[in-house]
Amino acid sequence: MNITVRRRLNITITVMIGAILVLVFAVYDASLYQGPFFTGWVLLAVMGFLALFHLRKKITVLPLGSASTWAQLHIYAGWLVILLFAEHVGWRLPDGGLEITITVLFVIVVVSGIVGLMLSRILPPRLTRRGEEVIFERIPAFIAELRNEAEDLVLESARETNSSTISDFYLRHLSSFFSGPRNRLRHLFASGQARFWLMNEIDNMQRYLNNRENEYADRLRDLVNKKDEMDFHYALNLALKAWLLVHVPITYSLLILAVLHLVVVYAFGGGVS
Amino acid sequence: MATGVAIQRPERWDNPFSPDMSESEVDRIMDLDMFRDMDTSKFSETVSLRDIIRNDTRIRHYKLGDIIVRTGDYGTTAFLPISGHVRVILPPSELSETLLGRSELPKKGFLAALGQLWRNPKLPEVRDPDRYAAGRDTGTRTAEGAEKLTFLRDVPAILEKFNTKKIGPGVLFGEIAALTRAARTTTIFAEDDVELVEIRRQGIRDIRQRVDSFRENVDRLYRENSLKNNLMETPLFHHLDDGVLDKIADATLFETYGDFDWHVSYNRYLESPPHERLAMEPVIVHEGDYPDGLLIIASGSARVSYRVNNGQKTIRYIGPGALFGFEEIAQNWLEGTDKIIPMQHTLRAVGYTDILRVPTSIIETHVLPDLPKFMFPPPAERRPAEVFHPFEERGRFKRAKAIPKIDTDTLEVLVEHRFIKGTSTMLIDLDRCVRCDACVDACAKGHNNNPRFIRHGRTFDHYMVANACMHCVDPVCMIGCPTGAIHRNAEGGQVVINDDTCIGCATCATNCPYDNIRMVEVRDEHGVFIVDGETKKPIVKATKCDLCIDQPGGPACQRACPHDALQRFDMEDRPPLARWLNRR
Repeated sequence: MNITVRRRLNITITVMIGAILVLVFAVYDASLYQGPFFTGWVLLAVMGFLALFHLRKKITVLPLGSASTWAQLHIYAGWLVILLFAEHVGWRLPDGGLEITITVLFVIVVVSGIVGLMLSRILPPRLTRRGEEVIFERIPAFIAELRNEAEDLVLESARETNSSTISDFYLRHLSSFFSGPRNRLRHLFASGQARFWLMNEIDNMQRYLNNRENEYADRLRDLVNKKDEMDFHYALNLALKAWLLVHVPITYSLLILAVLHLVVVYAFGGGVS
Repeated sequence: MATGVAIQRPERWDNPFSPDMSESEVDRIMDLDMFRDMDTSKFSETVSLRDIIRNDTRIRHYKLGDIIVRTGDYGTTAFLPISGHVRVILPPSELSETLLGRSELPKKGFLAALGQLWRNPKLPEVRDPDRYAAGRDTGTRTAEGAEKLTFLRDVPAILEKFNTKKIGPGVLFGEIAALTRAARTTTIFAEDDVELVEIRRQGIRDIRQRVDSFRENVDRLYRENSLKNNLMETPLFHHLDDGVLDKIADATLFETYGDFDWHVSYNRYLESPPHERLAMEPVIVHEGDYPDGLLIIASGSARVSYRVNNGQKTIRYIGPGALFGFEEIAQNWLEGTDKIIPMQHTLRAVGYTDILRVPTSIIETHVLPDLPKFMFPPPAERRPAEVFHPFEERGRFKRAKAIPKIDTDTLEVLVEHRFIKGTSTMLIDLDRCVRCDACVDACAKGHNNNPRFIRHGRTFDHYMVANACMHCVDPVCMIGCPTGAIHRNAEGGQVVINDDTCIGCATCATNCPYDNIRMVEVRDEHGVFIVDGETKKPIVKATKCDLCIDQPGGPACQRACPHDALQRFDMEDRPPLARWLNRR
């Protein structure tokens, strides 16, 4: 199925389910049943289902449906759970320490999920369109290679040209740049400022170089560009992974507190019909 | 004048089949019945019969029980016994998979599959050394030239149990599989000490071209054994009776284009500029030629293109069973001799292509008169120049516009990199892939914690063809495996490696042009490398994707991708591929 068609279909189904749920809750409420108990159970069930996606991703050896189908269900059930939560708390900010904590965690999970979804749609095309594909775990090794290459180049230039201009420049502007991944936020927000600045500095330095030194400077410029590519891939790959470090642990904390909330409600609710 | 690094121009026999072939051995072979009576004047001075024997043959020695050819294997050579006898297992009886050095992997059950999550070893490439030491029905011995041979331990029992036929000196075998690049259809083993001449494909081809009796014999065998089956599989001939099919078979020509060893020069080919690459692909039919025959692809693949100024635009690729030229022949027949249209497209061999050419007159006489109306293609004036799909494929769609198309740029990449040979090519949409490696992780979980592919490979547009075994339609990796460890699974056709019988010779890894087979050093559960008892060198095994053959649910990589970024495709089945490529 075409992705656009699938998206439209999923949105339509989600909106319809949402509308039906709102209607059911309203009818339930009008019948003078205790609405929050009903909405609470539905909310907990959907949150549990959302958390199952993480489990599905871990159990890849069993034919439990494709992860992409699960991901679609996760995304749209995720939108639905916002509605369910709002219905459950009565469209107002809750009071009580536990409830506020749950709300804060819920907001963090929702926001991190939305950010993750956006990142996973925006960043891959950017990664595709710049430089070679690099495996994230190998980037530090590539950077180390580039650093060694740059340092060898600088030492050679000092030895062969009897001039310290390039090596001084390296110590002043580049040694920190080559020491590890740099400019993560700038790359994440598509800013070329850091690279522009370094290129500008190299241009400025080249005024004071003779032809021989300029050859070394050009090679150093290439290495700076390659390192910048690595930084770019590192920053975007890291962002694609990092949001899950917020989303997943907080989800489990949220679930634990939600169960605790349930126990408390049943323990002190009294006269629950 | 062009300058460059001067080298001696590569010659036909720079790499003889056996560098140790002596003149006395050449004399011995020349004196065999099969060669003695050949008219040497039919051979040119540069490619004499003696040259062919010196460079394209070698003498092999087998002992009792040694397997010479194995059913299902792909081979490039034929054999001629000089002394001793061999036994052919007569179909339909066949040695078991384990006797052939292959594995019979049962699918894991629910609990066994789940148990992998905690039972998988933490260390990479862990094996149980006792498993390799366990007794089997076959053994491996080192023959001359350090070559490994697999032998059957209990030949008398096999002779008793299976229907076999004895072949003695002077009877050639294996030539059809070598010439047609088809899988061997039977297993042949040595019944006693056997001396054989092994002739490689190039030699057989040259002799076939020059010696009428040899060609007639080979062609007769081909017509009897394979050709009619090939023709019967063509939908165009479904309505014909046996008598007509025999007539078509008698008139059909078998032609071969390209280089069977294309994989050897694959990387060099890719380094050439695009126009040179195209020039390296032999032309089978030129656009504008008179349509003198219907071409059926017997094996290999071919590129269909048409001229655009000084270039060629690829519009589709075709593989085994596909037809070429039918539209032109049918239209010429319908419209009579007044408006003869020539071939509309050029056909080129991609790597290698074997063609069956059924003369136009035969098609006009025996096929077209009774052909159902719906099987006729639309007239040429209603056909666009860019016909992306052959007519038999278009029949699957009600409206021409409903046929999904693959854009030309993508086609060019898929064809020139020979990715079209895959039956399970892994494509990754890099615009959707979040680089989470869930696919790699899933693969590892199904293979004792060892991923069997790398999320890395050639990229084009926003797609990557990952370094995962493509399970090629004509797997070159299977050529030359001395133990039969790499084989096609009898049920699903997946190309798999039996770890128990793999001897780590790396023939398969060297043959694979896509670098999709990895050699690994194995270790025991404590992390100690398993070594050869004599040389103390690590035991090496070939590893590759097996499409999760023993896992419930098929390839885990594809199921594990949460973003719909990874799919595996049979490249012959273009509509699903086209739909996926155009799914925005």
